[in-house]
Amino acid sequence: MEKYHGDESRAKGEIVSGSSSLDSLPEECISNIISFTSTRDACVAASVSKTFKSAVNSDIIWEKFLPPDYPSLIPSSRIFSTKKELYFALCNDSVLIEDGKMSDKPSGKRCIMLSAKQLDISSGNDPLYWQWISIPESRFDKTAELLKVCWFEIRAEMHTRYLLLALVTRETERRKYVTKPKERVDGWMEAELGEFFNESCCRNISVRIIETRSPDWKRGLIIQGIEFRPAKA
Amino acid sequence: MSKSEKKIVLKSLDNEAFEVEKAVALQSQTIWVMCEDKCVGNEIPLENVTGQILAKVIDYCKKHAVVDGDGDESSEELKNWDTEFTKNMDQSTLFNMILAANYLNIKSLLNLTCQAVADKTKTIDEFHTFLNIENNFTPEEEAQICQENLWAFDD
Repeated sequence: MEKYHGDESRAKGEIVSGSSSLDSLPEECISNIISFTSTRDACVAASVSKTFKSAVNSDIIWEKFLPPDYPSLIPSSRIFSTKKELYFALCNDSVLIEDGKMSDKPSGKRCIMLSAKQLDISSGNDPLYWQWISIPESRFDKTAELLKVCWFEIRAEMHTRYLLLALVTRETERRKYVTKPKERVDGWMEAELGEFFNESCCRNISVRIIETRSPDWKRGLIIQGIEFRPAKA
Repeated sequence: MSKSEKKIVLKSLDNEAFEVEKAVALQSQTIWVMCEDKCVGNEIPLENVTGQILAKVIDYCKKHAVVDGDGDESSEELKNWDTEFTKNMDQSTLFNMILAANYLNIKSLLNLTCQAVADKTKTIDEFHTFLNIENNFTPEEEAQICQENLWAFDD
């Protein structure tokens, strides 16, 4: 009944007066309102009413929640029919950081991936040792390909404000061997570098991967990035 | 240009007439198009907006026209003015302002009023009470939607 009333007043373009209902606003306006909330509120709003559910699917909303450079985050092999679908696909993969920008993961479990460009790679800018290539399998514009080095060293630094779960290492320094790489669902290989313990916030955390003892040349590795994610409970 | 050409009369749904500077009225894309097409005279009838709401819309446009014109006020002052402007509006005025801004196509006012509504509603209950919306889902549908968006509900 209420729905009928809403549609009727919209069709006539009347101003609803007195006890007006947001449901009687054009759907576009409702989407606009929701775009000023958060991703969480938008999903809550979907359960308000049918008009809202439909309004929440609008690209107006999700376009705003996506990071400004989101086109560069979409793997070229994937096609998304709506911005909402794209948003959650990016979230479920992980949050990507490239050139200092990042997207926001709505749920309590936030993963962050620093692109190779964000890493401090020893001799990374020397074309004799490393080259920067674009490959379609990568979520980032550039990936680092190791041509040959003796001194292999990569540093990653990240501020804990990027993590929803605040993160601080209990031990100030810990060394361990990198585990044997395992294949990920996206086809890349992944090696675990270590675990941090989360306690309070606002610190820089850093990770270093080093192989400098052996005199052998290392070569052939392609690095997409380093991912930070909550440990499985 | 004579003085009368610089002025324009906006007439509300309930026949209230407002004489305003053209520069003020032209912030509305709808009015701008009407004037461009010369499909109206000096008096523009706005059939979707009541006098009470139109008066507020004109206040907003006047404020923003002045600032755009001589840059006297800082953007911060303007922001404060905007906040004050929507702060004490009740729910029904806000909705009508949104409808008016949408119809008149004044993007900044539409964003301002939408933001104001967004700031006042956070939970489903608030949506239902403040926004006066009937929950027209069946219990099964509601359960399904909550399931789909589960992550948004846990703290």
